[in-house]
Amino acid sequence: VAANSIKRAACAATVLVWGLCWLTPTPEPLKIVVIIPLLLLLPGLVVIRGALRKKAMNFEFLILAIGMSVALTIVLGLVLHGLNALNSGGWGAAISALLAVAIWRWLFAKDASRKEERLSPFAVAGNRRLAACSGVAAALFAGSIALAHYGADNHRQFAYSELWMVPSEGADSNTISVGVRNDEQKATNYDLEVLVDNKVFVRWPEFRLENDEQWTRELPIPLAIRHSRHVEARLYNRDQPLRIYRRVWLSRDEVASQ
Amino acid sequence: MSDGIMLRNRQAIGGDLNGLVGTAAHDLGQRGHGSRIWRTLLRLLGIAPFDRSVDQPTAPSSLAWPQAIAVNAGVASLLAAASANASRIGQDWATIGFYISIAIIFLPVGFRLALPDVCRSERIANLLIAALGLFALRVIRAPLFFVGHDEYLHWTTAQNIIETGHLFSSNVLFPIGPAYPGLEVVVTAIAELSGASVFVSALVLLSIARLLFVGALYLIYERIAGSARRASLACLFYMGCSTFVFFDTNFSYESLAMPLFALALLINLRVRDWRGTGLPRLLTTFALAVLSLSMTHHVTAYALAALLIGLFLLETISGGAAAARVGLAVAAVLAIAIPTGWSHFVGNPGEAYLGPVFENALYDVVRLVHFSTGRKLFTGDDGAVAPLWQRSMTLASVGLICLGLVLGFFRSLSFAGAPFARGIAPKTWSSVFGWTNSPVILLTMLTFGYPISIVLRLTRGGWEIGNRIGPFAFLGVGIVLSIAATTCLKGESKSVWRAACISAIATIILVGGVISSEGPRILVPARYQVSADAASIEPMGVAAALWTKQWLGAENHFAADRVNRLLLSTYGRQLVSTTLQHGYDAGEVMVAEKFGPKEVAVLQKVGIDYLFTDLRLTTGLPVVGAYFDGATADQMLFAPPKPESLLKFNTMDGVNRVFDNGYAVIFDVRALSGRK
Repeated sequence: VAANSIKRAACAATVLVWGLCWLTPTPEPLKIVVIIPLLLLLPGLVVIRGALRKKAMNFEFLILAIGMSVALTIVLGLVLHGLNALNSGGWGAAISALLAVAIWRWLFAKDASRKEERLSPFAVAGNRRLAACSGVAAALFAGSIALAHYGADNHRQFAYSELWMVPSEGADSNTISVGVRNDEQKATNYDLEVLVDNKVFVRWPEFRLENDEQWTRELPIPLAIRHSRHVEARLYNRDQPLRIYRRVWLSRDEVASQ
Repeated sequence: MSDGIMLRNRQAIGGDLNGLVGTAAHDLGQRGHGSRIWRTLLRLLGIAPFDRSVDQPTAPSSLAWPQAIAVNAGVASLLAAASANASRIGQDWATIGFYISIAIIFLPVGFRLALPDVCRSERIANLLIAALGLFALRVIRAPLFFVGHDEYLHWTTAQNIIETGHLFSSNVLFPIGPAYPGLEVVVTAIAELSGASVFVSALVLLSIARLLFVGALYLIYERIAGSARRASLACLFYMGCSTFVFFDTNFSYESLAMPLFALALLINLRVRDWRGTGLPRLLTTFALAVLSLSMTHHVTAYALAALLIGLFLLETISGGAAAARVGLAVAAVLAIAIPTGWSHFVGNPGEAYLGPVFENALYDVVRLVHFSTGRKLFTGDDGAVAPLWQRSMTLASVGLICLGLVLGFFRSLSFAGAPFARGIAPKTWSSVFGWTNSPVILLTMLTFGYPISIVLRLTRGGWEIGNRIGPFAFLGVGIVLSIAATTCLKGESKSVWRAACISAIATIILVGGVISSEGPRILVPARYQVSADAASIEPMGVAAALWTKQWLGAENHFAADRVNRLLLSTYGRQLVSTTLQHGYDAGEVMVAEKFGPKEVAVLQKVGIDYLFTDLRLTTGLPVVGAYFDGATADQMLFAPPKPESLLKFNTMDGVNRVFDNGYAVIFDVRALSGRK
């Protein structure tokens, strides 16, 4: 009776966790922790238990269960594709169905004794020294990946500024967008001028952008210049004010088409 | 050996081969020196009854060592992370530091597995720690985004699945990929359910696939070798396969196909050993495994079919149990029918894809035989030469594997009960084939694939096939080397020096394999390199690709070089031009010194909207051998393209220059291509 109560409680908890995870905005890492066993262990356990008529969990059973879960997921993807449901809703429904089958089989399995069902990880968790060593190893792995992540994230061989000019889209089509993005790895002062047929049309003298900051302007094109030959944006870096640092342009056809 | 002795040997069929040796020695009379050599040679090759004393007694269960080994692997991964960061700031010691971290993870595992009095659970735990530790190095190497060329091809397919909610959407970079979407299905399932990125979902799946593969491999070896020690050592030597550590952990279909292959093989061995009722249920699970493999990777599925046909034939020839033969026959039929059926279902894309690969490989091998071509060993396409220690380690690795194969080949056949390898001359033809362990015979024969893979790797066209043969050939190499190690080095000995020796050999094989796969470019370097995949993919290129999506919208038709094409397709979600898709190489327009009617025609035929010109291409030769896709544009270049060629569009009417970051410029050429 006690074993059955534990079973029912475990099933209810699994359903609750899965439901919360699926239907509420749960953090990604937590979702992964919940989803992986449901997707890549549970389906295989059900299939392998049925195929091998095995009751006791051992290493081979576990490997076969993981492998069959991967295989089932792939085949399930093909089925969902056929049902036009290859999306988060379809996968969620599929997991729910698999979970229901697994729970039904587990609850009504007659031959499963508590001892046989006991998974070695639970026993492992009871060993303090082992748990401590596993924790230290996991922390070292996590630390090394975090260290590599930090190094990769901060590796910037190129310090650069982006300049662009594109016709604006949408309702207000008589404008062009001009933008600058600073990725010089430091705050930078710029001058920007827009020329129409090589004559300065508008100028933004000395504006400052912090690193990773973006600056954009929508530039209305007056009707009078819409048939001009050439609209060009020139960006100057205040560290080298006499040199054109970046340049972009739109030719006559592009402007005329607005 | 003289012809006379050979004749006598043949005449003496029916006796013990050891007796033969004695007879031959006796006949040689005073020529005892020759007989000693002959006997020594037979002993060296292991042509004798197999010594089962190496099967260790059961040791008490203990997980003390795995705890220490796990902590050791964690410390080694810290060294690896420090090395990866050092490489990014140009420290010379970085590469060697990274290789040392691989050795640090592996050495203690090898040491424990080589000892005879280690329990099964510790062996499994140590193997899984080694697998995860080595997988951690893959994450440390590329912790932010994919860096392998093929990974971007599969990422595109995965993104298509997420965006369209359907399989089989076209992927111009990789036309055959969508027909084999197994990997992408599982990754997108994790991504859809968790909200994680494709990159994170892929890492999660690949880590599980790695555990699955090593676990299944161990169980396969254990089932056929009947010993936890032999099985764990076989896994240890398998890890020396050049594709194991990095290539087979890429986000690429082989990385999931190999675990599924091992799963199907394991179920097949259960089918072989099955006695009693319930065989149909087991065969159903086998069919499911083969179907998922067929949906994941064509070559691996066909390799499984070939292997299972071989196993069925060997079992039939040796007169194995009838029940086993029936099960194996059904499994072999399923292994042929399911991939063939899947290939037919998706339109047989494999023929067009694999045909040229095999043709080129064969052509290059023929030319290699005539000494008219070949890859320059240890030299990249940009002329960079691997350091001496790496060359030495690779050669040592190949040498040790060959030595192990020589020592282990007949010992493995003897282990499998093949009479001629046990030194027993067969009395009848049927007794020639009287082995008792067909799987070991099959895997031993697979080792012939190893020298073939080495020869293919010496050629430019065959390199890819040689690389693909490796994982299958190593199934045999693993068990043969394991048997060689446990028999030649006195298996029952508890000498730590012998265990250390086996561990050192396995580590040299592993590190040599990684070097032959990754070489000096194992880490992302401090400086950008031209067309070098991992060394070319960096944040500025990613930012430019993201800009195209934000400011130009998705699905514009871009022409770009090899690396930017990947970034535009994935981060930018643009349509990119490939010679494979259009039959024209749009790169030709970019590198041509002048823009004339021919270039206009290419732009119009391909229908290009934008040209992505990366001026960094002008700074060096392409590390992987091509700036674009090896077609017309690359054939036009014998030196880096000139900046003025790439920027010739600056002076052309109707061309807009919409983006400039100082290194890359995007030209809007829709007016020239007639797309506007």
